[in-house]
Amino acid sequence: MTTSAKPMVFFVDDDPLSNKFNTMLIRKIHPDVEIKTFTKAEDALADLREAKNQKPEVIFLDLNMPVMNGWDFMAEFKKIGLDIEVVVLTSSNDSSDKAKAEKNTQIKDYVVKPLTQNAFTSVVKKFFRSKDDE
Amino acid sequence: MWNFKKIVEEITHAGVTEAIAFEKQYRLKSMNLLCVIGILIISPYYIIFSMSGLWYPVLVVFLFHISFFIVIFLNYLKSYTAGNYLLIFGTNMGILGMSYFIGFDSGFHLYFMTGPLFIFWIFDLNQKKLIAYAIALELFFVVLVFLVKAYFVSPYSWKQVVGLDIYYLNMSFNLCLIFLLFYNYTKYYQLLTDSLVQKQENMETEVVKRIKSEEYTSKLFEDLSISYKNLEQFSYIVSHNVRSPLSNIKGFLSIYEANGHNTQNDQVIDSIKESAEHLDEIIMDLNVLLNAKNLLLENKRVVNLSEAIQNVGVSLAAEIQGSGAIIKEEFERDLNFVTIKTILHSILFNLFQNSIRHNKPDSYPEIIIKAKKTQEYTEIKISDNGSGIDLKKYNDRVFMLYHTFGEKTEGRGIGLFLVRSNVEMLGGRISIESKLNEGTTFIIQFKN
Repeated sequence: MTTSAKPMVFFVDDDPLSNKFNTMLIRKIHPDVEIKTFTKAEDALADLREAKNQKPEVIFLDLNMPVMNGWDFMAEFKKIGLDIEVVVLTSSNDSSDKAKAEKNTQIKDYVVKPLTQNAFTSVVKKFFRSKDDE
Repeated sequence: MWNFKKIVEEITHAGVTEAIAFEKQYRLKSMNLLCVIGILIISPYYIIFSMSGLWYPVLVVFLFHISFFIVIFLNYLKSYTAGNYLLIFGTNMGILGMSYFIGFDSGFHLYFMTGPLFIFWIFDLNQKKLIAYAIALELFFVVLVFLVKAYFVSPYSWKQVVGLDIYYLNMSFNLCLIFLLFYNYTKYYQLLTDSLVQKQENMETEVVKRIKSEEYTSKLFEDLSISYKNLEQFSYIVSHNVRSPLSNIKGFLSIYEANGHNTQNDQVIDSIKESAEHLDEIIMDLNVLLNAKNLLLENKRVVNLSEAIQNVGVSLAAEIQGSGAIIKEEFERDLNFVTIKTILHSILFNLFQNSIRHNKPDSYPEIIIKAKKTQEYTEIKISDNGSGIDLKKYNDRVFMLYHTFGEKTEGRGIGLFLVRSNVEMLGGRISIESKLNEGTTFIIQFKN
């Protein structure tokens, strides 16, 4: 992986407005971060499976999506075997969703929408630090 | 002034308590009344005998009186059986004494004829032993009468009684007693019948009350569990669906620049507008779902399934014609069952619409309705030849709100959610069988 490439984040959310907001927010606070949005979880998986594509550092994942929901995505994502941090970004403040997310070791964080500058920075900071350590 | 009626009432209530059975209460009152009548009937004899100087008979009348008072007192002490025997023994002794002193032709022995009749007044019919003893006592006195008559000579003659025909006096008193006795029996059985009828009526109303309260409780429980389920659904919708556009609005507002006037701010405002519209839409859906609960207030009645299907056909006429859909009924024409009409309509409407909308390209939708009624269930099967759903993948999500499964579906994922909610409101259950590209069958079961 080329270090010159900009760091990248994925947003997987069926709500285009939510994706739009997230993009706008990150453009504003971290203009150097590459952003890819997917309204269908299958498309995100297809992108990840493609070997030549640049891999994201963090995937922001919505849970409540039609056809393939967040949990379906996680099951498929595990099969691909990529070491990418997943952060759940959902409008649900349902405690059962939270508990389920905590059990999943691949999910590093659970953020209730809307994403804020602080929440994003704290997530990204973790990633930057680990990058610097290498 | 003392109230005569009240005193008699007080005396006749001696020993009568609520604790004893109604029949026994009445019998006790009658017995006390008999004693009072006895006291009153023999009182004139004091005057008659003393005026004639017959002092032994006066003594007998006095003992007669004393025994009546003791009977009332024993009843008052609740020694009912002792009272009963004293009454029989006392009166018989008195009659025998009187007959001995002034002769058997005085008519006092007539009371021996009425005496046994009182046994059935003062005893309970199921106190067979006591009745037998009382009859034995009576027989003993009858034997005694013969013995006294045969071996003893009366010291006085009733002819000595001043200016009165004692024989007719006794006879008329005796007739009065017999009249009283039958009057009492009639009244007693009347009261007994009334009380039994009353008891039965009370029991019937009690049973009806209990059944009603049981029905009410089970209805309440049903309503409560439906309400709880609705609340759960409501909370789910709020936490998942209402929060989504709201969080968007919140987010966009956080990046809105108050002082700037640039293209980004315009975008933010547009997006907020869009989110607000989305929110409004969801709240309208919520309204539809919550309004559906009001349908439960409607009464259940007998509905003909075929008619209900035809009504839905009328409501969906435009969509049926537009798609060229065919609806086939494959069940008995006279299949009726009890349900809430409007809710059934909503269920069939949404299922038909679902079938028409999930049609396979290049084919006309065909909806086949099968139904059967068993003792326990009315089962309705609605099959289509549509695109089907991959149940292995989406089994648990078919009936969830805002879940759609096709690429080109028109629906917003509210129909099947409403269907399940409606079926459950009617106390039924719904299941789905489907194969991708082959069609879908919904199976609904209502308890009869």
